Amino acid sequence: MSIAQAAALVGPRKRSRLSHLGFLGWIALAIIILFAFIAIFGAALAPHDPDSIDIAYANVGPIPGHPLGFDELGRDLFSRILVGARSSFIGPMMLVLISTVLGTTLALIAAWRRGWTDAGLSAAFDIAFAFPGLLLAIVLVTIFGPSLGIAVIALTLAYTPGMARLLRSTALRETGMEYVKAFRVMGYGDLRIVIRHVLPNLLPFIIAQAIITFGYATLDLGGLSFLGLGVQPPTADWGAMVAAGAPGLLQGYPMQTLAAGSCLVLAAVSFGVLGDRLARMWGVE
Amino acid sequence: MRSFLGRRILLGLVTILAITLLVHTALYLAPGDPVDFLTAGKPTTPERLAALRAEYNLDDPFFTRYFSWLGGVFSGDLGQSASFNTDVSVLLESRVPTTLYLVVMSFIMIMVFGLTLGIVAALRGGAIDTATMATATLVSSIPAFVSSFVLINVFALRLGWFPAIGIGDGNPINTLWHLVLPSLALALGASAFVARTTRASVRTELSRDHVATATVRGIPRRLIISRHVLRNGLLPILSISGLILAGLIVGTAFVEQAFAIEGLGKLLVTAARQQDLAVVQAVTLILVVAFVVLNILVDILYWYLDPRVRSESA
Repeated sequence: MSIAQAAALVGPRKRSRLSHLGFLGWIALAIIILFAFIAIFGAALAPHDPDSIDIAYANVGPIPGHPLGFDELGRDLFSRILVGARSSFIGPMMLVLISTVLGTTLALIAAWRRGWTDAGLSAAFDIAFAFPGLLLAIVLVTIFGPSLGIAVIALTLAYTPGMARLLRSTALRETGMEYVKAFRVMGYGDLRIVIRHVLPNLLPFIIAQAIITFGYATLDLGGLSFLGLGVQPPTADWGAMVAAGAPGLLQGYPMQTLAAGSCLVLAAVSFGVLGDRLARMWGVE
Repeated sequence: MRSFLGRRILLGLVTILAITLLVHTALYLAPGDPVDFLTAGKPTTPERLAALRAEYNLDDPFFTRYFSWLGGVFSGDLGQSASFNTDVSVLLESRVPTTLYLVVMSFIMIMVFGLTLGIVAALRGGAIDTATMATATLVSSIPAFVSSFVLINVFALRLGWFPAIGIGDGNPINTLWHLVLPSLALALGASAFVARTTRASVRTELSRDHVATATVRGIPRRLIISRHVLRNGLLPILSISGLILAGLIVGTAFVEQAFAIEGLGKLLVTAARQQDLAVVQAVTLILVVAFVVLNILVDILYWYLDPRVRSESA
């Protein structure tokens, strides 16, 4: 069998067009790009110093020049929201990158070796997947002390099995395809087939899944920061700001909690919608 | 049944042992002297340190330490809290019922809202379906620590229908009253999840051949729905209930923190911040045991309701 024949077995690749994203998909993409822009340039965009305290302005509402008003220490809320984007996204980014790479590797190993390797790995994925990841995070934080790094490591341990579990079934189908057998018969090495030929075909699925996971990661890491177990004050962070604004909310100043919470929800919804639309567009639901 | 049950219980025990061992290993590998956790960073005399080391067997090898802790658990001794300066079991006594109330109320809400909305969306279709599913998608992206504050702001502070924080004076009716908003905050995300799952599975059942046959035979739609569609269509809810339970157990930490409720979740977070390991270890153990036991119950229920599972694992 020639390479051309082997390639023919792969079948024509479905070309995807961005117009299939749909109206909601485009809005979600626009919001994500905006958030990414703020996360990169937030410090430069902030109209005021996000850390400058002025108790005289504590919990003061919106006034000209300060569109969201001030937080409980009289810091400009709008500036803190802008600056907080970075710490709210950098954790999820590391978390998603690491767990996607690890999860993909494990799934490919399970799907390629099959047999006992697959059975063992799958059983491990199932057990770890069912266990509440945040509980593990809380235990690790107790031992190593609260920090964003520990929170990311703990959630990586929780996310990787879920990622691997999802990818495994798709990888299993892909490695059972005719073209893989063809390459094997032609004497190509395992690693070469998996990395050069199987992995690229799985990429749409992996990317869509990673984007959906990013939404969950934003909420989970934001949640840990809210509990005081992730990003530590005075660093501006949306999750930590939800908690910092709580006493104010009870006294009738809900702005900080609701603004930071809305940003987290908006980010999570956008990543969820975009991932969902991409999956549909690439036909990998 | 016996072998099935035996296997599930064995697996559950292995899970619990594995988790406790994992926690112990992490503690063993942790940087610094474990005695620092026990004193919670407060300055102490060398005699007190030596007493603590002896009390917690810190100079013993790893497995001796692990088994003496495990032995203590079986005799009801969960150790001493360093940050609260009292027995861990005393801390748990008042908090377990509160969290139990919260989780049970929340679970009832999830089932009522989730099943109703899912079934209505699947049977009615059209605009109702679209609206319900769009709402479910949005709501499932709102974490409990955000929805809690929205609920407090709207229903407690603006409308004044419910109390904002705490669990009241201990009167059971008053406690339930205080727990309405926290349970709702805890239930929202999972309700959306249940609604979507229910809708998908009911729609799958509606399109089955035996439903079409029953329709052609002239059996009333009401009977078809209740006997053929819902009976099969609601089974998948059992299989996602493990995930829902995991979510509820962890969710209590956020909701109790937001509503200032003295329950297990808030205790866990407070102890974690203080690096009070005895408390974290005890609460984790309780939550993991609860999680494992509930999952076994779900499996047994599944076994009774679905004959296919019975024939596979007989």
